[in-house]
Amino acid sequence: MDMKLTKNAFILISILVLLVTAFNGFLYYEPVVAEEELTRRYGVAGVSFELKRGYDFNVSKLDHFRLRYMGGMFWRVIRENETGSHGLTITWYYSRPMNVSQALVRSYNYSDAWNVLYEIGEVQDRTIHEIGNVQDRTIHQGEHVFHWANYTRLNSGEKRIGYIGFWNCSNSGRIHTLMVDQSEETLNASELFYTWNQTISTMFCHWEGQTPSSEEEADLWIETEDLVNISMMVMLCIGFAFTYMMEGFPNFAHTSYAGIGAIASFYMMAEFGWNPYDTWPFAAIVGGIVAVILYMAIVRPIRERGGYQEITLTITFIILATTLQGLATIFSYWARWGMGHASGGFYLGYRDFRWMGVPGIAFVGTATWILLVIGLHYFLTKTSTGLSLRATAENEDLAATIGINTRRAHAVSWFLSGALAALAGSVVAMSRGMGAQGPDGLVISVMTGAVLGGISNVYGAIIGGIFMALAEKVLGKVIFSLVGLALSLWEGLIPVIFLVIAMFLFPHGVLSRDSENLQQLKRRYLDLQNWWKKRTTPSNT
Amino acid sequence: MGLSGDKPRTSSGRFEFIDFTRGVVMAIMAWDHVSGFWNSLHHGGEGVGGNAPEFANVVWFFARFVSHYCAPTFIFLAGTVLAISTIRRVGRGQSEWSLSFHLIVRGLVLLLMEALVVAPAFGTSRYYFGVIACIGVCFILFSVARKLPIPVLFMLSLLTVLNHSFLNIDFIPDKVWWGHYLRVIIHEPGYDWRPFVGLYPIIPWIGVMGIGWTFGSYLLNLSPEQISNLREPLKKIGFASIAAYFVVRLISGYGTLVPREGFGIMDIMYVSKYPPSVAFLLWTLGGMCLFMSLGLRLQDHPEFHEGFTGVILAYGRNPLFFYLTHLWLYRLRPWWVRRAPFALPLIPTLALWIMGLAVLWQLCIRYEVVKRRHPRSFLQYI
Repeated sequence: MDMKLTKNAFILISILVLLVTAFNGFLYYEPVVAEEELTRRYGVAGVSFELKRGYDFNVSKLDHFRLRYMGGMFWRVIRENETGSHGLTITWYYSRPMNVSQALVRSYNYSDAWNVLYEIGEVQDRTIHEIGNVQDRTIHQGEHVFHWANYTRLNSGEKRIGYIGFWNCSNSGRIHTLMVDQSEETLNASELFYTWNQTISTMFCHWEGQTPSSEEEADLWIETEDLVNISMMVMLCIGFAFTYMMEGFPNFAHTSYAGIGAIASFYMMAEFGWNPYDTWPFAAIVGGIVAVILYMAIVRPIRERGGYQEITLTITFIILATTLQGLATIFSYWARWGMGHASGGFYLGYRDFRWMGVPGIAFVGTATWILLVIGLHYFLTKTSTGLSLRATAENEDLAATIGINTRRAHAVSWFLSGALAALAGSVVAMSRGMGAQGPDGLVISVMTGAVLGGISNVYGAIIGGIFMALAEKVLGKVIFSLVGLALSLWEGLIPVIFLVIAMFLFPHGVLSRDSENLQQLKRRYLDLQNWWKKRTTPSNT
Repeated sequence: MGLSGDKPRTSSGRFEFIDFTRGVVMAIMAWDHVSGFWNSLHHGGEGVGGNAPEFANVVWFFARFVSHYCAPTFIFLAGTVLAISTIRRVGRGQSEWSLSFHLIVRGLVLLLMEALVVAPAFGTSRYYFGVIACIGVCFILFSVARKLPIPVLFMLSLLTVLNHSFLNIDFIPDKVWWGHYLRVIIHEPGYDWRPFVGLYPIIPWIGVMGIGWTFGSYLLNLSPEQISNLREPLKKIGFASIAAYFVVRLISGYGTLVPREGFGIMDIMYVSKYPPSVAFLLWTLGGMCLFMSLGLRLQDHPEFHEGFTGVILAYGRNPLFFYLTHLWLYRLRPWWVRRAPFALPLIPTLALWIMGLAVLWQLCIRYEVVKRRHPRSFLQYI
């Protein structure tokens, strides 16, 4: 190793090696041809229903199909060698019992062109929505049953055969609508059914002992969904206002804590068999701890560093919201693939009790938020920690001079905020379920609620939360009844509209601590009244 | 010998442009692995058995393509740093035997790490012969090869790199497991006979490491000013290599291993990585030269150790620790789940990558402190 590599030696060696290489090339070179095309293998151990749009997979359990997500709840399985749209069409998860023709309607809605003629039994129909009941056949395997009927279909002169039906679990009530459409009968109904029964989605479709309720739902003066919405929004708005009050920036990751709460509840129920309601304290603690960690790891260092803190924190938490959503998605897949639990998101409503046919979450959720508000009021007005929180929010420097541990006050506020949001997530998981990515887009509604109530006012946030929970739906119904315009596609617009109105009329919130807004509103009202009087009063001249 | 191994180059005795270059490729490598773990549109295995994976689009192609810099740079600079440390030890009067022993132990530690840490993280068998195992075996071989004169070592290395495609190892039986495994380890990467699988055969990678060793021994002969002046030659070498890459790839004969099938951007830029074709090495080592040139330019900047470059340097100073840690960090799933069963879109994957890099930065800094406190412990090998 001792000899030095001089420049001349380097050049000489390089030339020598190139010559040897050229000689080798002359003697031994053979063009290499790729042996085979690489097939796509993803190592997926079953059917995944949480794929993003446009992804396609080889499905090992359905090994000669590819599954493609087409949007909404519609899935299409395509044969490996088949092109175009002919294959196995699957609509996923419809929770109410159907007959075959209803199942057909659902499949049809998603899949077919309008000029298709169906023949099912003796029925021929081009407008599938009007088709009558069709006698269906059934296949049973344990508690799973497959109702189906043969059909032929004419599409632009091309005749295809297949069958239509739905898979149903008699325990959970889950339904998958399945439609096979093929040029010749190579896959029969039994084959599909048994294969489908082996996917993770169907093997773990319900909890042991779970049965659907047959009790008629009592007619309450308010819908169950609205009660749950109120519970969720109040908890989230309070937490959001809390953070803003203490830190002075809008926490865009706030609703992500709700995802954490849903995950925590789901995990304790799925893995340890806890009653979902028992998981709530655990979920709240987890959410609180995560919030405190975020405060200590992100907020405090940024605060101590100085600079444009509010902007920095806001942007940081927007990024964090995306990250937490990603982590929620990852957990969702762990749950499915690692633990073997079916989780198209986090839904715990299977385990809910019913009273008068109404899901228990409607009562428990409502009672919980009312008790929480009372408890919070007591905490903020009667306990030394609560008072220290308020003092810190009012004037942190002054609070510090009178001996209040402001760091502790901040940490406590973050814990409360995180815990409340996580609890809201557990509530949502018990009712309509939380999506695999957490609560998408909810933060705008929460922010609107908090702004309406007065973003620095916890009590105002309660009113704002209730208002937003009801307003979105009510406004949707009003617009629908007036102009027949269904708002389901644009419902995300409603909170934004409210936010704009609130910012215009009540920039400091309806219940803001200063009364400037109300006075301003009163002035505007008087101006308007005067203007109207002038227009309507006859002139003396 | 003309190699003054005891001459410090920086206040800490490190060549920081090397740390910078290594840090850059470590970060890129992390992208490759997080993408491989979490995204179904990420494909690899370019060249194994002559295969050319299909990429969904040009974005995913380049998302994979950028990661090609990692292994060659990692191995090249492993050789460079190994030469520097070995020659310095010689300069400090360390005995020949203890030097060889040190290299053998380092090699064995790497083999152990491959089997116990890396292979489980990838979800492959413990017999997996990956980049760490390859470097480990090369270290062991260099315990002897280091005695060769530098010109001879350089010539052999260059010969290996440029001529490995002519190597015929058909005399090794392929129908028995040990023969297959031997082929995998020596020259023919493969996944056909599990669990005896591997992607980084010793030939030609030992040649890459040998050239790196030559570069390391060359650096020790230079003054700090001369090293700073290397940035222009490195830039020229880098661009010349990349130009040569296009020539080789467009001719699509010698040096490609996987032939070009058309004149699309993906056809031209597609390279065989397993085993590395000459085109692959021209592109990647050329890029590495440019990174080093950039590192030399940046290291004169007063804020080189702060901000973004400070983070990169932290990765580059702890390459093995980074490698072992990042795999398990980005795996982000419990041990009982062997593979990521689903796909993340591009943006969340990027978010996951950046988030992991932030964590790894902190871990590297802390690890460095611990390692400095215990210079004689097992940590000296990591």
